[in-house]
Amino acid sequence: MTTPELTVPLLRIQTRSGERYDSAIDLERVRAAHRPLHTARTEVTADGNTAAAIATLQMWRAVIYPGFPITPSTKWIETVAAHVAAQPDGIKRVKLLEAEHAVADYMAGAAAACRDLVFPTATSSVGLDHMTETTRSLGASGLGNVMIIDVYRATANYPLCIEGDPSDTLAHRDDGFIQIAARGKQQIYDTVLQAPCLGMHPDVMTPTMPGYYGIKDSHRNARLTVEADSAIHAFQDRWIRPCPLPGLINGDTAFGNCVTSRFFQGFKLEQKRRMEKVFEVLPAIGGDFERTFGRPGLAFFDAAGWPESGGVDLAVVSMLTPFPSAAVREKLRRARAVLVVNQAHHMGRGHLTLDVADALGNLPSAPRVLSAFAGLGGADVSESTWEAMLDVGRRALAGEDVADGRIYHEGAAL
Amino acid sequence: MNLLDARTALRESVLEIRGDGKAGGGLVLAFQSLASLMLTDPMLHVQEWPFFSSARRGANIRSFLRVSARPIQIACEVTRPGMVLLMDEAAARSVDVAQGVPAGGTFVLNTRRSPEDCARHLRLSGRVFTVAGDDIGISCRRSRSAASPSACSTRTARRWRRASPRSARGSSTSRARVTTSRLASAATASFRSARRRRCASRRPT
Repeated sequence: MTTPELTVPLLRIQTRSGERYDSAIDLERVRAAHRPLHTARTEVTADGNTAAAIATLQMWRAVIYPGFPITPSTKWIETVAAHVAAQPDGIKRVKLLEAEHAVADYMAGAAAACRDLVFPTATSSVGLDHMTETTRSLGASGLGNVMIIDVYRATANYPLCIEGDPSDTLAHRDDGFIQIAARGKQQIYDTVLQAPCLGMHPDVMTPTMPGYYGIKDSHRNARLTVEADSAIHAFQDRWIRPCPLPGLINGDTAFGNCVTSRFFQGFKLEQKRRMEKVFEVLPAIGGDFERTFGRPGLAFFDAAGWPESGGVDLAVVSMLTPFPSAAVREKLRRARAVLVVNQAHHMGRGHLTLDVADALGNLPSAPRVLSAFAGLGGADVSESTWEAMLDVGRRALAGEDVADGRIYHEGAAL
Repeated sequence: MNLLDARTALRESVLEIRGDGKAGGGLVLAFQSLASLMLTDPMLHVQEWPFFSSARRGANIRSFLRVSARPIQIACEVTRPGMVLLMDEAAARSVDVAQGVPAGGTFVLNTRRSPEDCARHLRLSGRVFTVAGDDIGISCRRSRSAASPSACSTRTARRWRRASPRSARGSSTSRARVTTSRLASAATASFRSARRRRCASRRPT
């Protein structure tokens, strides 16, 4: 008895990298089935989680909302679920999974299968940690249609602290997500609307992680201007175009594939190049948003400034990853001293301090970079705390030897 | 003593309110409702947020509210509130409800005690109001289960007590009988009429 001859090679890549199957999902039908949440510009009262939920509900490309609740992000999925339940014959669905790891896995599969749709979820702290195995893969995947809204909370269960501390997002800076910090209801809403435009841009194709402070922003109610769904669709459709996936991802070399180091390095090179394209694409999207809706769009810095005139100015970095080193260098070029305020625990001088120092390092006359910590675990950063930190900067400028990297609270160095 | 004028604070700077209570007691909901009511005035800017630790019923919680006729940029906690609400007396055992309140501030306390008692016991100075809110709630619930929901507004009459700065030091107290629903509707009506007046004055001629 002879063994039958194999007619098909054991390993044969059938599909080209980045192959598309345009007829698989009828996008026009999905678009037509969208039921507008708002037909005109409206003012509502909302907290941060509700603002983010409204933004995702208004996208016609967002149809499936995978999620798992965790404080302080729970109200995002509650709001989405309430809306979906109120429209039983609508096409939007909530997929409540058994844990965050499953959420990330679900998004990987769904987003790869439906690349023109947006898959948003919201999580916090250890919820994001629980996703880590898959977020690293997602970050490299080219699936810019994945959006994990991170509601900042200290990333530890011991001691457990549910208030706004960005240590969770900063612990995931190398996952490969575009990380943008938003402040206030309006900025949260606007950032979530723009994030898929950036992530799904054909030059970028990188998942996004917009974030905002837990409790302080997630639970703070204020007035919010909500745009008409039709205006949002017109804006997003200008930026989101059908595009293939980059690199090795295709039907034959999907998640979990083992590649040789040669492919791996090439893959990472492409991933990094795509991420660097953010510096070009983000200002263009932000500019278009501002022209369309009359509010500031995505930018490397928050528009906030120091309230008083004088020798002090404030720069609030909104773009965490990729870190806008060139923009930071340009902004701080003429500073005599830079005090970097870190709000997340770090064993050294602080995540942001290292980035800022790195950005300023090659200036001909680099300003002195000082480090301070405040607001750990969402602690209040009062005016007296700001004064105490500024005093360190003033004393450093006067030539005094000052302690670096101290924690400040209620006007005192701890 | 000069009493802090809430309207002036609201118009010229920021009126800051702080509430203390116990989780599950309705403090957060009360502040959310107040914020929603204020936000119906297009001229007002409002920030409202809770402050709590683990989601445990009975744990101490705080709520903050800022309201101003100008955009509010400040984002830190309210540390010098012009008005303070104590929703649950038990919360005052572990927090100082008067902490940071400037002279002439206003205190509203949910208690059966008199304003003088509270002022003395909690070392409050300024305007002190007490209202037996728990009793009102309980009698409302009883009325609702026994009769029509509207019964509570007619049957329930509780004292709304006010102590002037002088009375907080132990002198006479002005008292008025006001029902819960009257209190709520009076506040709403007053707020809405003030808003209408403001809107009317801004209307182009």
